[in-house]
Amino acid sequence: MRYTLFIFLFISGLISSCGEETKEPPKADVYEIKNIGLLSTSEYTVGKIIKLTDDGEWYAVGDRKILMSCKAKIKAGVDLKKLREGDITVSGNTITILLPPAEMTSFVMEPKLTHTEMESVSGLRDRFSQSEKNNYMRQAENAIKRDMNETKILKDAENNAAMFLEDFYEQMGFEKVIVKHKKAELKNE
Amino acid sequence: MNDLVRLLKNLVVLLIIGGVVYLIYHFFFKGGEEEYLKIDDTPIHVESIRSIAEISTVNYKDEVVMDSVVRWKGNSTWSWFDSQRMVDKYLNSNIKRRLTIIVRGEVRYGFDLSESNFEIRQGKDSVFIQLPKPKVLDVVVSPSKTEIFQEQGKWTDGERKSMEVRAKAKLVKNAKSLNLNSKTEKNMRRLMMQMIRTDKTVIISFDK
Repeated sequence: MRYTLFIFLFISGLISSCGEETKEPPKADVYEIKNIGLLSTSEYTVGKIIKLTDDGEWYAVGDRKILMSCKAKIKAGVDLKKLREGDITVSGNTITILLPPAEMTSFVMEPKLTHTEMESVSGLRDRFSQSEKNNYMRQAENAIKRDMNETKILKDAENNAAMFLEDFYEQMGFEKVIVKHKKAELKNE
Repeated sequence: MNDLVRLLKNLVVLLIIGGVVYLIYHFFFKGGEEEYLKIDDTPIHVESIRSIAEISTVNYKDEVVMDSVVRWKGNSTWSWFDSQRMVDKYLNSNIKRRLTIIVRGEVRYGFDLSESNFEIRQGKDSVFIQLPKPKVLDVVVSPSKTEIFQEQGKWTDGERKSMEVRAKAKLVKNAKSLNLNSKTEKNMRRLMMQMIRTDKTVIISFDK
């Protein structure tokens, strides 16, 4: 009986130790510095509710529900690095600038502004892990990026870029400033 | 001799039971919670819209690892009855909980001209452009660039957020240690020269 108990405890230990293993964290000291030329002219702050109900598989006892809220700050503008030689032309006191199409220049989702509003776990289910929550936030991030195309952020960015450059070139001494935008190329997806 | 045969029999039976239990757990239960579910489709709501004028000229990209470890404390007699604690003590370096996150982010340096805080003066043969000091405009971090490398034990949102905030601060600290202000100014000069069309000499200076 003693042997059986010992062996049972040994196997239980082995099984439970298989569940979680400690890995050494990777060393990360690689960085990259890049020269850029982004003119950001419009900033939107948007919020989103993350909603998920997990009824589980047929064998799972209980369900899990979670409601989270998040905020993202998105900037849009033009990439001045994409200006080509013939994109800026001067004729007397008139300057014409052909700007590249507006694009999202930065997307920031502050960890501090992400909150779990409600979490409900019943039966024998596990609580939501941080890894799962991070995955739901990733899905929310992708959804926000997709939905931003439905807002006027790019149009606002183009208009604001034009206003900024008009002011800039007028101060440079030009009497007439014409700002045009190249059309965005259609992406084949 | 009989005892040894019984022991071996028990060992074989228990190994089979243990193996079956592990396989059932592994294939039916463990994977179930880790397969990520799809969130519901909810609308976004725009909270604010702001017109800005920021020119970023340097992008610093880095990766920061934050590791938080909580070890078991004390050594009471009762701890012998806690199988998880025993496993952690002898097979897992006495680690009770561990969370390791990898944050990949970008630090953007540039000039905030939103308040029209730049000045252009025309001289006889020169144009003088006075610009503000360069600064960090954005620290770009997001969940898609954040990886939960390992999560052992239960961790609260507050603990995870605190690690992410410290990772963000470390990104900025790493960027600042490289003294990127002069590079930001140099790139801004180059960018301005590409955009300015004049026969006069262009002199660009920055606030101190």
